[in-house]
Amino acid sequence: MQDLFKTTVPTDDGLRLALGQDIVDAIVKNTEDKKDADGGNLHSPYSNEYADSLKFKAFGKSKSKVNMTLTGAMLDSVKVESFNDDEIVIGFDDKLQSSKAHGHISGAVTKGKFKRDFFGLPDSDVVSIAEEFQTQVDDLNADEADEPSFLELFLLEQLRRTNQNNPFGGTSG
Amino acid sequence: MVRVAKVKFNFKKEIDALEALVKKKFMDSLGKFVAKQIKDLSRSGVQLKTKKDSRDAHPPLTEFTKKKRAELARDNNTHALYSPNRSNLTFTGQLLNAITHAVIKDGRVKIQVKDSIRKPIVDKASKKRKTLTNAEVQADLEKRGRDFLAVDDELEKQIANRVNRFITRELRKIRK
Repeated sequence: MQDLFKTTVPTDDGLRLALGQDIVDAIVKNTEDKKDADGGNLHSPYSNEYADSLKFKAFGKSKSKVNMTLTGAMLDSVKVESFNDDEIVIGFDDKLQSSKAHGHISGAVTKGKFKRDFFGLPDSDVVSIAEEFQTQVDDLNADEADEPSFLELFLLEQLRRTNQNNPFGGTSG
Repeated sequence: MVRVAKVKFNFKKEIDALEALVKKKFMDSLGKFVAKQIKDLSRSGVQLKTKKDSRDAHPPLTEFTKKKRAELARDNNTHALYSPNRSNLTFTGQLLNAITHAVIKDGRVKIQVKDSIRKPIVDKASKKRKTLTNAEVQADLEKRGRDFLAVDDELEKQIANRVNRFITRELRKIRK
């Protein structure tokens, strides 16, 4: 965290959660744009076997549009799992989606032929996101920050409720 | 004498703005998403059941139904994903294509089958075949245990995650 902001990042749950949520949104958008974690293109096209399946056709999928989305459940389940002073951990809402993702990221789904690692962002994207929070970090360090925003309180409450209700937690990418 | 300081937080501006956004912008797109999910899942052979935590296939077709479907297909335009033996609520495609959504006055979203007169099914073996409405077809299917208009646990979770992401994104814009 300190490397990203070039300064001590104050202990502020709201800041970390908001930053994590922006990263989640960016990962999802990146994947929907058919990009992988390094900024390149996700391996295309989908296999003939998958493209010939009833589900693929029912959802109106295109063989060349590899965006890791059939029902959308996997990408919808990406979330901020936890955070501490040094890191923010991004994971999945439940075990099934986490396993699905792992199969793609590791290449297990294709028996090692290739991977579709969508779970991450190019460093430049992470830096851009962090830059949007720099003012808030500086204000907190100078003790000039406002009271926790409505957003931050809301997000913290959501995270607390999610972790209370969900025993699975998922795995970090 | 002890003086107690009063501190007020006023989030009315944010709450009013958020409420307007949710009602106008988001509920419509969420409704469209749910309607499409129900349609696509049903057509893929999945039977959605309210509050169920696992997804099963639609009940299989009887031999009589399979034979009848194959017979009717000769004289009717069938959907691309029709197959005589396939249980996916699809023959011409009219029923599932009529699944639609509406944002109701108090901010809720209703998913329903648009009740319209269907293009008649040509049945040369039956002289008295009545043209049914979508509502009548839906009622008949539900009577036979072939419910399809439902939100199960997985879809509900997806909806909740999307709502969360939307609210978070919009709150950040408001506070910037």
